[in-house]
Amino acid sequence: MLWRSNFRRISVVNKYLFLAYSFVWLIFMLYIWNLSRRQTRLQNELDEVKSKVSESASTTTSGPSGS
Amino acid sequence: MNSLKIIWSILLKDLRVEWRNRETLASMCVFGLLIVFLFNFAFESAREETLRLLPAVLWVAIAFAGVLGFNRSFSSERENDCLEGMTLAPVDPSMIFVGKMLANLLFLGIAEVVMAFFAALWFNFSFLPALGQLLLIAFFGTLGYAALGTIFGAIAANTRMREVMLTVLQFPIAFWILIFSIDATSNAMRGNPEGNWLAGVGRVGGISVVFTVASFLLFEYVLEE
Amino acid sequence: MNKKFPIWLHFVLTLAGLVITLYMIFLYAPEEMTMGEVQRIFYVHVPAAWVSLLGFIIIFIASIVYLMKRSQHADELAHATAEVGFIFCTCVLVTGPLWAKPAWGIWWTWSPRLTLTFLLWLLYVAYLMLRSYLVNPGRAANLCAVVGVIGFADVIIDYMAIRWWRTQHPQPVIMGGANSGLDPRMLATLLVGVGAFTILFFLLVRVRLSLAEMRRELSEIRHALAFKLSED
Repeated sequence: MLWRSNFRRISVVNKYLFLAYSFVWLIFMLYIWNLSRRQTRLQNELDEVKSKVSESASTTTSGPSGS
Repeated sequence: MNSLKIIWSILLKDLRVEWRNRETLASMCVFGLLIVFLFNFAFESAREETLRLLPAVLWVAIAFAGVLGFNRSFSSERENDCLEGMTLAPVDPSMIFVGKMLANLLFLGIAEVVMAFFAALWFNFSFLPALGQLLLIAFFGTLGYAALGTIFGAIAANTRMREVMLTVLQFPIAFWILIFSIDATSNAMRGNPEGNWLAGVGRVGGISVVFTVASFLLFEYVLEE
Repeated sequence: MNKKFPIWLHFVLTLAGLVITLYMIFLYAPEEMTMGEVQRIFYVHVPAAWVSLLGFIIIFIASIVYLMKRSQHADELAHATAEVGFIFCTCVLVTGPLWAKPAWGIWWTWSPRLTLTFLLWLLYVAYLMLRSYLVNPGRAANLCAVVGVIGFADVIIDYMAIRWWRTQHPQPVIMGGANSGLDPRMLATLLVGVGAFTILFFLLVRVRLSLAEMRRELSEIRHALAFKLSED
């Protein structure tokens, strides 16, 4: 196939170029994914606590508010 | 005058606690000796090369023995809630720092003497000709190292992985103290071939003083709540 | 800062900067004579190194501000910068050997830039480890700020010491002499790269700061809730 023969012709130094840039991309993508996961988790916790607050606000006078 | 009393009482307390079972001192000496012994035994045949490595071996041994000592110094405080006591005591926290640092310095110094003695014995090398210079280097190098070890020990005592945390903090930052000490010691041992021995000692002294002063000034924030 | 400079604009600028940089790296900068194409790693390696140093400078300033004013914003900024700076620092340490091996045949050398970056990386690791292993949240900011200050003092000492050490034990200048005899087009590409990476750095810090803000909000609400429950 045409692309396969082209790839073999590229000198080996470009392999390092590819690896270097790929690593940089990869590490940033990983970090952004990590940030996004933490944000989702924090958002869920925030929503949960906010709902508890509104629960306790609605049951003002008596009884524990089921925490 | 009051500050000196505080420093003295902390120092005395650490000395008294250590005197009871001498565990910390013993383990520091044994650990340091082990490193010196290992290098001497493994590279016995190539004596010339080994002598070139001797400064590095000694300071590596001092570095590891030191970290061992700093860890124990604060772990005993933590076990008996002394850290809280120190935080609450109405004394200048920097004086607590000086007291603890002097205790660490003293213990490490004693361990160094033991290590140096056996190194001289096993490597067949006499430190006496350059003794004054070596003592200066050892003093300043150990001073800076102990200052960093004291403040990082206090910081690491607040964490989950205390020994590891102290090591991780200590080595990147004390790195140059060790390197310059090794360099100056090597110069001294070879009889100052480059001539300017004061510059070497000055470098070690300069870095150590910088880190000691920085640790002294910042210690109050470490004890604050 | 956030209100005057909306994040979408920041993102667009970052993207534009990176695209322009990529164009200049591959289509504008000339090919290097001895190394060939692999030299283009340099345009990522050096800007990342600069940004990691900038990161630690920011950590230092934020730590000082925290110790003087007890500003929680300063503390959050220091933490965010540490994370992002660590990422960039890792990039420098990985792209370095990947460039050095095909260009000069060795994986690593204790050249000034690499030595400084390695020590900087160790400091980042120490700072981040401290942050995650602290059990006493009340003291966390204090302790990390102290480490930030001492760490930066160490960076300055590193810089001076490495320079002195290299006069005593000189090395054949391989990677260090990047700015000596640089083709103007290469220099332009490099500077654009530095600019783009800096903008990217601040974007990431900003995103990370929003996480800190959420955590702060969470802790405040929790406190209010606990207080309220204790009253009932």
